[in-house]
Amino acid sequence: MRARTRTLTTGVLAAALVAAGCSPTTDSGGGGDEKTKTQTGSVSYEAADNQGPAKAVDGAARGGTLTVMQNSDFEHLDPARNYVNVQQVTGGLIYRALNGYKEDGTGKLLLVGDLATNPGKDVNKDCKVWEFTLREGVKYEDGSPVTSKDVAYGIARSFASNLNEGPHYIQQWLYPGGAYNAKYQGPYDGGKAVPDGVETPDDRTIRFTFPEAHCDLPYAAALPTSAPVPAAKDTRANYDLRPFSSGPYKVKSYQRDVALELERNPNWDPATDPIRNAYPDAIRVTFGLEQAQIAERLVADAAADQAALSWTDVPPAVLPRTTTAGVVERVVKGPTQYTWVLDINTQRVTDLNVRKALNYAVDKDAALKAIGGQAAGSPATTLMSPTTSGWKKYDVFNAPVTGDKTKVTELLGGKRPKLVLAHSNTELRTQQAEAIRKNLTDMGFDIVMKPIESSSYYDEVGRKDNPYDLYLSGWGSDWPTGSTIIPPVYDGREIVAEGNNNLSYLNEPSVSAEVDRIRNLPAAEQDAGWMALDEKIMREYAPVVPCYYDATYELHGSKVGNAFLSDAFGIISLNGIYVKK
Amino acid sequence: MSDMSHPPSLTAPGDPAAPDLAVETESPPVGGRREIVGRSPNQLAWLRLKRDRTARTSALTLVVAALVALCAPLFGWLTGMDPTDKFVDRLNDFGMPIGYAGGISSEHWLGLEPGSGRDIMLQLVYGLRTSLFIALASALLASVIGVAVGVIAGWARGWLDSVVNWLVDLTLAFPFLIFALAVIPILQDRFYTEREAPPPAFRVALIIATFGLFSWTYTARLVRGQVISLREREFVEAARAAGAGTGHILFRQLLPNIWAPILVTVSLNVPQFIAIEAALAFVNIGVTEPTPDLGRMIYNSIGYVASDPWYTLFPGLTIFLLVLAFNLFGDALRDSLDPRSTR
Repeated sequence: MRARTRTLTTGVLAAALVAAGCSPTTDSGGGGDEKTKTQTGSVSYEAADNQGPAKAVDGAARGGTLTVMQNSDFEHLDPARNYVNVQQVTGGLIYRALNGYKEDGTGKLLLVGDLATNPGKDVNKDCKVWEFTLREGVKYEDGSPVTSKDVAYGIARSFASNLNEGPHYIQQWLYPGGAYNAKYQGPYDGGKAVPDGVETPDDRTIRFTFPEAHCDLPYAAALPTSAPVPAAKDTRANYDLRPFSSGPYKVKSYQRDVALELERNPNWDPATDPIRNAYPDAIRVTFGLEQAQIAERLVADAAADQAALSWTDVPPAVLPRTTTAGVVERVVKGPTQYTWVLDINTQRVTDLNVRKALNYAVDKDAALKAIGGQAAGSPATTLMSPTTSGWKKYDVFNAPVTGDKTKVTELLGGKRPKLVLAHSNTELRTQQAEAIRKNLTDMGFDIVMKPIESSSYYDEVGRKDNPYDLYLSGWGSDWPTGSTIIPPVYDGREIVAEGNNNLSYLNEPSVSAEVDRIRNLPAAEQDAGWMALDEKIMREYAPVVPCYYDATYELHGSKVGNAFLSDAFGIISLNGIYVKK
Repeated sequence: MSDMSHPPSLTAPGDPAAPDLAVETESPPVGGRREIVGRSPNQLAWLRLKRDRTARTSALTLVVAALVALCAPLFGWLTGMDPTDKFVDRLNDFGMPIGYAGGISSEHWLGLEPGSGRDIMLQLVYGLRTSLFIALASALLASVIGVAVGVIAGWARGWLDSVVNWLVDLTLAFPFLIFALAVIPILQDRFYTEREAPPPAFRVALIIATFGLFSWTYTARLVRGQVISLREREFVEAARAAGAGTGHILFRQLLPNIWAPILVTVSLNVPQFIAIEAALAFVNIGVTEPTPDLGRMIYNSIGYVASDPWYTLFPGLTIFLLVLAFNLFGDALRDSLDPRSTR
């Protein structure tokens, strides 16, 4: 999934000029104990993992209202259109997908059955036919039972062209070749009730039959498009505002751009849910505060904000204020699944030596410090993030983090390439682009900076014929395997006229062939295969400069208990969170 | 100068043959004999300005600022640094400058910018240059347009005057900021392709032109009013009777009589332009990176008020002093040129 863009709009003057620098700023800003944890993600068929209720959290208490302060409103809550991490975590409280991630904050990430009793049965052991059995006793907010027909209907409506913002893995796998909804456009306007290959033999069973092998299906079934939607409650485009609850909370009120209030769904039975503890009585998500305002309020920890948290990263200007006692223990930080790379438009920069020289030239330290240093990420050398299963560190160029001028000069061989660096015109991204411009200019390139309006940044660089040479982009996996990183971002066959994810426009038949080969490997060997392809792409084509592995740095109030970073979503998880008395 | 039957300053300053001599007593009579010194109005204004302590202080501030701005490359040469040089190794893991008071050290006298690690003093000195140049050039352009339009309108009467007045009303009704927001990026795209970066001078010229285009109205109205009130005076009639052409009357007879209010307008326009130019940075249409700019520096530093107040303090203080000095000097200038408004 495409990363949230780090934006910073400074509209508020912090109240007081406190701590005006009577103590020196030291080298270790945030305490250098940051260790990159590798995700130990796995699919669990163990009965103990798949059985509700979720394990109780020590010292947790039921009750209270948890507040989440957000900068901007969600784009979509409709399960068919939900593709952004903050929306997925919120949506996960309202509706349950077939599968879900079970986490306890120790870095152990298990994919288990959520609505289903287990993460899916591979009927013929060839990854083509998958069967899910729904749990007994799962009810909607009105007390009616959740049936497999509703899950099938939810998937069917995700084909509708006006509900197209969600992930489309299962959809594409059901109709391979061409656009996912070329042959089937959902149940509306006389379409079939269910897509081909989806069967519901009884109310508790749903079966998927794919033309090709897809061993990743358990992960794809954890995405919100497999959440049940009762056909009678489907309000189409308006479903966004009030999804019908099958989870622990239901929508009490939702005022766009102001607040979303969730209250308990009395028909949710904890015994049917292995993932969610649902300790708070109510959850309130507020929108419209500035990023700096949110961070300052959480640092101040006033009584009204003590049971609050935010999924917005602390902006660089507020970071130094989060290291004092009383604040530092309320910081939730760690790596996310996003890797930020400086894409090199390989249609324009065809000289491999120039691309290699760029890899030696980029000062990743400066690029990171411009947006918050260690709190924003750590220098990267690979395409996939360390949170991907099977990840192994490699460094093709072995350049120092601040660049290697001798190598650059040698590779450029007296030339001074003129390159256009496009960047999003937010304050932080401009600062970062200027850092890269200065660094590359010193290294022997002529750099032209081109600001692009932040809201259309990915649209602009995603046009195949864009006029730029270099641009920064972030990509995170939809589930922790390489299959949602390498193929969408580096397979040349995915390149279309507009809306590309392959922003380096790398189109190498050998990479495409390797993608096909790995996809057909047994599930157990795929992780190593993606990692090897990751290194092969960098070694042979250098289509990007891996810049940094994104990190998140969030704050919560002092009355929030069990706040930990979800490895699946890269933000604070709400499933086991509680409000301290 | 309540007697306005004579032109207040028909001749060049200091002309001993001036027909219009003001008489002022200088120092108490020594030895029983009063010394009478004749001075022109300009000399009197200059004297009043010199005696005004506020004027002296603000003028000194402005001279220092102008010198610093002019000598910006000298600072760079002395310190061996470029304003875009980044001292990232002097930043900590969060990108904050290491050391006391925002990284103030013997090499970096005003510390470093958080995030980028640029030297604040050099950014400030070069930024001052950008801001002052834009403000002065804009004020000059606005005044030239304003005076030209005002004189034409005031002298021409009739339909031309109506057209000019209508034009002034139209310009005044035009929202400046919205126009700037719309025009600056579009013009940039018009002249430069997607793969070219406009040189910094282009953006600067664009900003100056936008300011000039919108700020001539005040001067134009002022000059028009003055010209209308002066053109029926006897000295103009006399000049006309003596066979002087329109050009002579306008530039030799009328203009010297209205330069004082024009000068005051210019001196008050400059600080306004400095402030507006800084404000443009807040809506992303100011001077772009990597050209140093005071306004953008302030905009970037505001978020750091609590964590690194020094970063906000230096550019903020600079622009505050600059605008204050210009405003005070403008006030003092007005007071000295127009003795009726004595405090």
